[in-house]
Amino acid sequence: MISGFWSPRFPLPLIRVAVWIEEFVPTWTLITFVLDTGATHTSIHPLDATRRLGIAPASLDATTWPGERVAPTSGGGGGVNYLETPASFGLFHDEPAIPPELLPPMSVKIAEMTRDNQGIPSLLGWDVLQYFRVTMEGRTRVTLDRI
Amino acid sequence: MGVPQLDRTFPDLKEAESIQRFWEVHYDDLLKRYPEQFVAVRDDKVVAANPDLALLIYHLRDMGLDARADVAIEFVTARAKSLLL
Repeated sequence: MISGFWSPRFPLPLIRVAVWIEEFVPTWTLITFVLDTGATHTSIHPLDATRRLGIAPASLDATTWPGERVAPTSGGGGGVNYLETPASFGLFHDEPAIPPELLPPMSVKIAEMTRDNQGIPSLLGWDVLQYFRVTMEGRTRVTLDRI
Repeated sequence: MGVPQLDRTFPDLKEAESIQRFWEVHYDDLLKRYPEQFVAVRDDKVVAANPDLALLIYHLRDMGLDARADVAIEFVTARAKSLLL
């Protein structure tokens, strides 16, 4: 079982996920995502792109990205451009003796930096969640079990 | 390059939990001092804050600090309790 958590200062379920994005960081990096059943894709927003992946703000300017890798995406916060890049995801079981759950290689979307999305959390979407049974019990418990 | 080995010590889950605890304990105080700002903390002390994330990152760089390796950064906001993602 893989447990997420709730923060008293935040109204949505959170989960720590190890992400490896070879294009930007040579090692695994822990990112805390909002578990978002309303998102088709997992996305990393500017706060995590800079503080966790070490991407310079200037590199989050979509006009500098190769056009074929730019994915315009719409959402509740408005549409922004995302850079699609290969990624691996690993999730840790609560039981330390169980090896991390590694998912098949996929891609992740990294958001361009705009004035309005700098503080938005990163989102764990259905491209990752499809591999799990997701259980939520109010604001007390959120768990993922591999299916 | 193959996928690097992944275990519980790297990336460090305990360190992540410790940072999370710091923000939980100090968030209300930081919200009073740095409302709607990105706050960078090193050794449990605020080293920089700015309402613009890019400016904060570059300010840290000018201080010789790496945003990824040397500090923990959080957006301190009163609006986090009402989100539509």
